[in-house]
Amino acid sequence: MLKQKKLIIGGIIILAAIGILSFISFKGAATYYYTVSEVLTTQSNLGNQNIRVAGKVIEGSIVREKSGNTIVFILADLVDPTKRVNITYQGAVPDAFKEGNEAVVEGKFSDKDTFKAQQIIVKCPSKYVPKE
Amino acid sequence: MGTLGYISIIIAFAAAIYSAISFSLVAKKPSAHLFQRAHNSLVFVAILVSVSVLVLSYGIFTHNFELEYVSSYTSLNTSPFFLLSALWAGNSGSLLFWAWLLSVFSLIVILTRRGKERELVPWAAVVLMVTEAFFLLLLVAVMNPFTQNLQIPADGSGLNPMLQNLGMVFHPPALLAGYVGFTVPFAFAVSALILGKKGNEWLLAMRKWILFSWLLLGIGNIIGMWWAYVELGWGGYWVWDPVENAGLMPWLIATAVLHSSIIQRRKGIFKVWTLLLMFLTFCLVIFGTFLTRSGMLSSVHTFNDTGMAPYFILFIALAFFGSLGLLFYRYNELKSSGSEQLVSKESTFFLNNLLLVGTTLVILTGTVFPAISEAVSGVKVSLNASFFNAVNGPLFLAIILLAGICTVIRWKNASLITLLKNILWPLMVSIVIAVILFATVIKAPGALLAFFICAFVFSSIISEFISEAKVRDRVLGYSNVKTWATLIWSNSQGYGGYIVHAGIVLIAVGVIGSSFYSVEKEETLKIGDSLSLNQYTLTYAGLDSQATPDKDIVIANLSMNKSGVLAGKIKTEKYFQKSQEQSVTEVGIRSTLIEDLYVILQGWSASGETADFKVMISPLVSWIWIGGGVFLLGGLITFWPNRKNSEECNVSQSEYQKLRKEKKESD
Repeated sequence: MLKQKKLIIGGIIILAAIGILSFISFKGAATYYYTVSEVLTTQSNLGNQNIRVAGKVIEGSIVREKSGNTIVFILADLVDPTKRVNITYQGAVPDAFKEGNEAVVEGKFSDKDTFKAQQIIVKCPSKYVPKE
Repeated sequence: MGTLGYISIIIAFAAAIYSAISFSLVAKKPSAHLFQRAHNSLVFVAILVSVSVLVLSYGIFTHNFELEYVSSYTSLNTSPFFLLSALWAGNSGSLLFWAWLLSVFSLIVILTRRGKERELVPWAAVVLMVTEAFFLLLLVAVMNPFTQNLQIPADGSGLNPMLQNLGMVFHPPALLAGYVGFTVPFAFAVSALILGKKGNEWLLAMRKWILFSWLLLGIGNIIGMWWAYVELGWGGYWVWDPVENAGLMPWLIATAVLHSSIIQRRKGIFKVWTLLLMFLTFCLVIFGTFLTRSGMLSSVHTFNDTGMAPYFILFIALAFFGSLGLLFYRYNELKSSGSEQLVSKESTFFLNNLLLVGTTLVILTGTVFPAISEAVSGVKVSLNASFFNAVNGPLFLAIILLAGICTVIRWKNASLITLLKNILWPLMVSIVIAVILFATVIKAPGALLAFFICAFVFSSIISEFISEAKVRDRVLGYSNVKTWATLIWSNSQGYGGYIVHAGIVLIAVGVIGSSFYSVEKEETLKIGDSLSLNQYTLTYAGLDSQATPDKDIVIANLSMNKSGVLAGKIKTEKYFQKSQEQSVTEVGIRSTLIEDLYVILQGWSASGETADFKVMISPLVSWIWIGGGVFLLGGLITFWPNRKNSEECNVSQSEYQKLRKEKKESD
């Protein structure tokens, strides 16, 4: 019986370790996910939070800046396309990113009108293709 | 043509239900006549689903664009190799493939049962046929692979260019075969419970099936990682995406099943625990199948809601609560009274199991977190890779460490002294290695600890091989070569297992190196300009363009200098598949055992005068693939039965130990 208790204690220690690790890393990893219209309504409450915004890239809106690797485009809400956000992004653009496609951007609002994206995640036309 | 395929599935569905009912009648009241009927209907299911698969394949290979599936996933210029992979490239095609594999596996299982296991067959067949019926129902009602185009296009859209890669040809079938394979031991476990069996019958019968599925699922995951690394062009191989997690979770629990079943076979304990893990494996398989093709999680990797969710949820609930209920019902008969010493192999196995279940719970929670948070608070909150890495990193290291301790610990009562003696050599070697690493390049404490643990585990495995070889040498008097050759086959399960552990350690080494020490740089270069990262200097030479019938390719050429010495050229491309209007990046990779140089073309000016590059150096990545190969090798070795008719095994274990002691004393 004593031995079984020791094993149970081992199990509890593992659970505790998992709990502690999860708690510590949660804050830094949790990212709220909004649609464009949702984010426009809560924008004032967001502060400096890292969030994800989902929408559709408006046709003709992708503009590549002259210097560096920066692009700007407009993300519209899927349900109500009049709700829009301006996005700027610097870095590698995923292959499936195209005008007219759905996209999710992750980043934060750099000012009231512009969302600075750190990452663009696109839905892939085929079934199970992980993308960054 | 398509109609034939569809009708086949409908009849197969009816036959599967008939088969399930007949087998349950046979189980309650055995009758040779009824058994034959049930048996034949199962064969019939396999034949019908095969016909369906043949029809779809025929449509694919003859470019029959009447079929929507063929026009969506192939085109006239798709090569035959990729035409084959189109069979499982799409949602409905892969579901059909699932159903086909299951029907074939069921057939094989029914035809190969002998002796005691035959008792278990009827109920197991019921479970297999019910599962088969479920998948056929999905195909009939929601995801018909044979839907026709209203207007027949002149050419198809072609296979998504990202899937036109060797890895993507082998990854889905390996993964799916692994998934489907687990249905068999699950079915036999359920059967054993229904019949009230108390022994290890189902486990002994299912050993090879569990190993087979586990091995394929593991290799399928590794191929998937490799594909992501070379094809997706962002320099990584794992992001804890829901689709990746769907393949990993059942594998982790299956690993736990493998370990706990070893204990159950040796000691007759952990019976309930092993059954529970087997049920969990199957539920995770179905859940994984669901995750990769539903809109449940707005992961960017899944399609919009296809309407399959309710079916899957019901089936998982049935499997989960049904098997749990059975377990409760039979619990008192299964409870064992064995106990194990604390410092023994048994407890390392149990701890290993707890850790594996722990990590799976973490991954599961993290994966479904957005759905849970939305249900609870209305806002979707997703957890990115850093969460998974932070929590799972230490857990995986602990699992690997346990593998090392397990190698040097003895069964039953291992005195602390024996343990310390066995640990001494590997511990010293790993301390030396850690010191060398610290003195040279590894300063980060996390990385240092991780490498120390890897070195410890690896040297404990080698030490085990060497000491056993030495003993066999002295006791049995073989030549060196024969000793080594026969060592593994004398206990293929044990030594195969150690080799698998070694493979896992190598993979860990690759993961640690690339996770802690990757560096990257982005720069825009004019022709003739150079970019330097660590000891590499890349000079941009210019752009080339090529056009093939189905794609336009832009190639950026760079020359590479390593530590000041010209080391060759490297190129990176982006090509545009004309039919898909999608661009694909082909990265330039230079791999050595030490590190990978990874060059991505991100953009370019119209004239090609300037181009934007991202360059990464990821250390030790090659060891991930090497480790995968070792893993596969070890897994294959464990399949081999121990040699029963050779002299080595005539020496029984206790005699062997006695001889060892005598030899040691006489030295």
